[in-house]
Amino acid sequence: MATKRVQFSHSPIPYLFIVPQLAIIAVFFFWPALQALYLSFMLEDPWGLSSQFVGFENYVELFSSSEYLSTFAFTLLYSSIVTVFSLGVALVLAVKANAILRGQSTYQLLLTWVYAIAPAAAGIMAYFIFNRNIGVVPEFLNSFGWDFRPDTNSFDATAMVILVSVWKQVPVNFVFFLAGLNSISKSVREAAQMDCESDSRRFWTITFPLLAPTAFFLLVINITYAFFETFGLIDTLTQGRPGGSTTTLVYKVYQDGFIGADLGLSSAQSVVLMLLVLLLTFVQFKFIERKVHY
Amino acid sequence: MGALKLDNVVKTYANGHQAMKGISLDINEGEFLVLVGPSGCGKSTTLRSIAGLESITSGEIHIADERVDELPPAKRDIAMVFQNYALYPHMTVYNNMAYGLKNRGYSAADIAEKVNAAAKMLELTDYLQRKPGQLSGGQRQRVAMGRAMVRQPKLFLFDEPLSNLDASLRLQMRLEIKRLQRSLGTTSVFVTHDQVEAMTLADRLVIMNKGEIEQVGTPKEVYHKPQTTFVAKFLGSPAMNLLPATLVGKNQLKLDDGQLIAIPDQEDAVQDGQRLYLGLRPENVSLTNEGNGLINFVAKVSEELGATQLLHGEVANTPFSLNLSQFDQHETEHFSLTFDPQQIHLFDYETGERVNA
Repeated sequence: MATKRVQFSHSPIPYLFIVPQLAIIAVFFFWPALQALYLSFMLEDPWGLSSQFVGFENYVELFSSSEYLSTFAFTLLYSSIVTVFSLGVALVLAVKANAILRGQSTYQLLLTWVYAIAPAAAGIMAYFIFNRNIGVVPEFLNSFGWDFRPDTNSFDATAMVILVSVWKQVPVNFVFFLAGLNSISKSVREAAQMDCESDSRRFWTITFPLLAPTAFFLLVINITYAFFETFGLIDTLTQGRPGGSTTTLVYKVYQDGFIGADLGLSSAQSVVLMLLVLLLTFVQFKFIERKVHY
Repeated sequence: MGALKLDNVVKTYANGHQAMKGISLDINEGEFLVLVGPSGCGKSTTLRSIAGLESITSGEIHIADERVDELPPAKRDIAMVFQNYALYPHMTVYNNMAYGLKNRGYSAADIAEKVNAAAKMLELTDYLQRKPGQLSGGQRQRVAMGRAMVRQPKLFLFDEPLSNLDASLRLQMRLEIKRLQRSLGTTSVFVTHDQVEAMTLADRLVIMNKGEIEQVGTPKEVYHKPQTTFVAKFLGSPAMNLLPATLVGKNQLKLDDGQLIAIPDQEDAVQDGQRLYLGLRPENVSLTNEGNGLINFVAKVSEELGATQLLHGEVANTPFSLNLSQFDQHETEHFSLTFDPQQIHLFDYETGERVNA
């Protein structure tokens, strides 16, 4: 016998309230995503006048291109180094700044300042700092006997891009870590002081586990940053030079799509990138979040 | 030498505020000492200085013959129970209790034995694998106690540990703390602003005010022989009545409205014409129609407490309260009061120091 369900009459007003938000998501996320998915199966001429369905040809071309695979590898390496260093440096700075008694707010302000710089502006500044002719860093490195040539040496260029990306991201992480440290109850820290004499042991057994929710959140944010938001830095610093050795996946999407005007190939790349980020986020939530105590 | 000794301890904060103005205390082995006073009196600073969470400006702190004021907290062989329990939220109850032992290099078997024994004593055995977030307030309190107990320290410190509990649980935990302290025999220092807690728990009470010790003594001593007007007013509810008066001869007091009261002969402790406070506890005064030492009392409001009644009014334009075992409604507002001459407290008007024996 079918059970009778109680139906409440719904007012349409709640749906009206969320329409603007949904519309924004649809226009700026779902539509482009679907468009990219559609284009990734098409071959289009550079003027967009004609297009032809080619199935998985774009994807096959992508994964048989050694240039794309090396960009893929570079992006993974670059993202992990940037994430590890910007989290690590920020954590050390936050812990040290939190322990300062005098002038704490000055330190915090100075360390947070970089946060306010736009990525492109940071890239321009870094361009001057690292410029071979007028910059201070090459001169400094040359004095150690390191012939620093970011425009021709791919190792130097990679080091430069990583350095600037980390420098740009540390303040964000610093602010969050500092807030996380401040949210640990004072009496818990004091109780730990009575239970454990060693500072470093206390940090790893009490402070760090209690910071884990912050650290997990920042991990997700930093990977996204390294993947996407470093576009501005790379565009101003190297444009992928020398020889595409500092091209990240996002930068390659832009190069192939907007400069190379190969929309099909570029779309296939964005679909791959989308899947990659989806996978990374899934892995993070599935395996790391479990270990986090909120 | 005692279990804990404070020698002229001074704490001055960077902003110049002096939280402890030369505190000296000598606490015996196994004693339960309660520091009590209004907020800002320096009782918490004193406790935190003993714990090592607060540095001291000058003076010395000794725990069982060892000078500790230069040692880090973990080296002082003390355990502290915090007001909000300060349990480690990411650790199970078991690990919360084991943490201090692990850091001191005990073997896993030793730790298990100690933690299980403490858990059994505190009826926490069923909760050992839970996290603090899954426990009730009373259970968290017991975990905090357990964490202090397992280390078998020389000294327990309690920083208002009962103030986050509701009234009935507070009563129960109060008894439990006292029972535990008796059976473990560990010297304890307990800070509270609640005078009932202070009176019931203490072997000896330390009443503090503005960074100084007003009086040290057993609950009976401080209640029945308060040494200053501050102590007299601080302990007891309602507070002791203090009437400004002038001594006439050695055995009469003249209140400010001119009425004369006979008191026992004070001999050499006082001088004729000295300004004093006459202190009378609300429960030591009764209503009467005749007798010696009558005081004129104007009744205003009464409060029913069940076992007794409070009657608030005025004597010589000073507020005055009575705690009466029996009081029926009367038509008049004017009464006479009588009191036991042995139960009076006399304080110097200027210094607030007790003058009678």
